[in-house]
Amino acid sequence: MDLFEPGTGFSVQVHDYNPGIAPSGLFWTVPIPDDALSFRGRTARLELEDFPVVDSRVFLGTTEEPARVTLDVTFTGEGKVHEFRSGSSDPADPTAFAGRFRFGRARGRFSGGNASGLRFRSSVATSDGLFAEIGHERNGVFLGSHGTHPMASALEREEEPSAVATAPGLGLARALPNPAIAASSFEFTLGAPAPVSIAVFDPAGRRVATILDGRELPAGAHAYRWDLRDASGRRVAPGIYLVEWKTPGESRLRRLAVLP
Amino acid sequence: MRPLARLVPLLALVTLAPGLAWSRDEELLRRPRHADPVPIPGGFVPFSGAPLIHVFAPGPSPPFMGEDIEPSVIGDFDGFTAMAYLAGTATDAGGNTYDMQCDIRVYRGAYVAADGTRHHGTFGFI
Repeated sequence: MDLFEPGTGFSVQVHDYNPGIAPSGLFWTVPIPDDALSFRGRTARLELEDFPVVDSRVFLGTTEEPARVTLDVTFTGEGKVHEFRSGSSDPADPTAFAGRFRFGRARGRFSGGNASGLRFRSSVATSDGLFAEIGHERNGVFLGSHGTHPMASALEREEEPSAVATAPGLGLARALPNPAIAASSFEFTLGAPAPVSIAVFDPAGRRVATILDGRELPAGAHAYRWDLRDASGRRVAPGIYLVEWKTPGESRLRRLAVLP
Repeated sequence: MRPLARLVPLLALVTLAPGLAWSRDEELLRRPRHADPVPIPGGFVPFSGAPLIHVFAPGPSPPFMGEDIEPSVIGDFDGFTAMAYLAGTATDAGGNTYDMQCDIRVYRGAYVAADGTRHHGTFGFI
């Protein structure tokens, strides 16, 4: 993601948060956990938390420093399916691929920071007036095949594609603010009613606070505040803590930094 | 360049955090290189002296390259792809505001690595 001087029409770039360039020449593309990507119908959701990247300050600049980003982006396919057939036998040609895509829209939130201490948080960013697409494709050695990914057929159906939908359960889970000085809000979503437990553990694995203990909650978005106090009411020591959200069959762990 | 937000020494704690806690993301990044995907052969050179950037810009032309343009940056790939250009604003801890723009893409599927072996993986273009 790129940050620019306001009002410059995206011409004065001041921060460029990207992964590195792989020795293979692959740009800004990194392996991510499988559970960072989930599907529901024609919607795909990408969630990454505290992911290591590089802030190169300017596009392809030489000033680099370690950085981390958190993002939550939802891509939604809308309208008809567009079928693309390879337009060239030259593999370097931009039309040398085949696929079935729906155009659509996307929205997301971003936050991050670099080693110099810069921390930023975005508004809800959207693809309105720009472009988004979601689908299945194949290129290179796969061009002669018919495609294998289940999303290929799911995108072409009008109904909810159960084959690729995630089970209703624990969705986004995050602690805000992070780092915390006075309190942090543990936000999460539920795809269906479920009993939820939230607990905080110190780096040694000792439970220091129980926020929820199997409380039955309805589907939707929820948030519970932690005042950084342990079970005895004392403010916890500064350090890194682990927050665990649990529902039957699912759990999420997030790091939370508590400052003095 | 816009002055950076004031450095808050306490945030050094957060900078150190990656070394203190287990990170599955970093484990993924340390995966053996032989399993890495290869880029698409094509791309563009943004300015004289810059390397070939193996990425195209699908979308209505202008300002993009056209709707039938390759959205994947991974070559020899067969799988799910989603991409979007997103725009919004961002604010730093010092109250400075920025215009924010992202080209976010995500891929999941089969790919052939540089050594000819076939793999399955999930990748983010971020």
